[in-house]
Amino acid sequence: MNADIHTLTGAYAANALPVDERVDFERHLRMCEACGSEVRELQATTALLAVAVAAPPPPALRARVMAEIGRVRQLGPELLPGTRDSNPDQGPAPIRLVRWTRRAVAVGIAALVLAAAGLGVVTFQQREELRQQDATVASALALSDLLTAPDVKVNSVTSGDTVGTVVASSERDEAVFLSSGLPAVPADRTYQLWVIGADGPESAGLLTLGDQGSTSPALAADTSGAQSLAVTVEPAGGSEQPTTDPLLLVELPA
Amino acid sequence: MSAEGEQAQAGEFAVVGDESLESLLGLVARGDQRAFERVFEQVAAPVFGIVRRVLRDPAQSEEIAQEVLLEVWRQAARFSPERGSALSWVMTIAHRRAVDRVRTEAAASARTARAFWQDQPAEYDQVAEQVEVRLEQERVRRCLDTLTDLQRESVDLAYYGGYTYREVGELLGVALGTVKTRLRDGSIRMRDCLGVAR
Repeated sequence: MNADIHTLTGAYAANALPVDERVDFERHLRMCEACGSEVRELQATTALLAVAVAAPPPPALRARVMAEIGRVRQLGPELLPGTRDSNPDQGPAPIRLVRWTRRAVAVGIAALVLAAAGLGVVTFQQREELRQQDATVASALALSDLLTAPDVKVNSVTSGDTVGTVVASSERDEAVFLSSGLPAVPADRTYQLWVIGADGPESAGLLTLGDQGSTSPALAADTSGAQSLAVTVEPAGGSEQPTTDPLLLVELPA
Repeated sequence: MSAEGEQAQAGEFAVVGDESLESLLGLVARGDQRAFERVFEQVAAPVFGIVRRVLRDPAQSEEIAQEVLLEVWRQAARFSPERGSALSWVMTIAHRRAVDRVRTEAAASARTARAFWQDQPAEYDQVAEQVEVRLEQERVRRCLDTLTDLQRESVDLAYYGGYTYREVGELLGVALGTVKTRLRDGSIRMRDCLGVAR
């Protein structure tokens, strides 16, 4: 056991680690049994610190939560030990998607109606798939090109089940964004990537969500002066400026 | 540590009523909404309390508390007693979520703007009728008093303040290594004082 990283149990249990160190420590935690039991004890301790400041929530909260659970699909149990999900204290995944459940149903019905309307829809979908495949290939090429840059650096952020990773070269002012674990969005919504610079967010294009919940690598071609990349949910086709709070915010490695 | 040991040691809150939070979560995992309602009764106040303690802003706290409680519903099947008590699990989700919110820039400025919202005594008074909560508060405060100043300030700023240990080091003007070890030995001393099972 690495003595230095072991002293992080207290900071970890208090959620006082910056995101990058949290990720490193959790990796270590999976292999270090002694750290694991100490973390469990210290988390039980900090839980009591929370109980000590218990305060009754506004009464309306109960009604809202009870109404909302009927619309939130529950996760199944994890079947494979040692996966990312087995992390003892994973933070919650973005719950913002919850509010879309009703809309998703509406969209589903609309899609059925459209499908019934005939062939036009199918050819459009095929065209769209081809277009997305092209974009995927282009991004993959950009990624492999970027990876050869001499100063390439990586930064990763975990939020619940979601992981966002930035591979960046400050020499080229380019970055590639990858993610996994983003939930599916309804057909009338899309994920959009933003480069956050001194002048605010600038679109770096839409993200395509694959079957496994991973987005295709997306190239942010100009990151000069930018601090971070962010992902938001936007109306299909994207927005000029973000209209929702970021689900992922990954700092560009310095 | 076993779930039973944890409950016995870690306090009255986990075992209000005749059903433990652990067994209720088992029912919730299978979609039992009434069991979830009982879970809500047990954890809503500590969840809201810690979220508000960190975020300060009542409206934002309510929003995050709601997200946390829905996460408990959503992830109930992922709770596993070998990895700690149900209470720890829920509180870790709540605190992590509050801290994550604090650390996004937008929320940070909102927090600064509303930093005056710090009247903790009112918060204590509000829940004073709940005997088990008051006992827990007294126990925690007594134990916090056994820490050295630096340990207590570190734990307080990190846990209740939602600061990273780097920020804590900056605020207290001490080296990062010192903050790490104070956070650890302060938490260990709290653990022992509170009688959290090893």
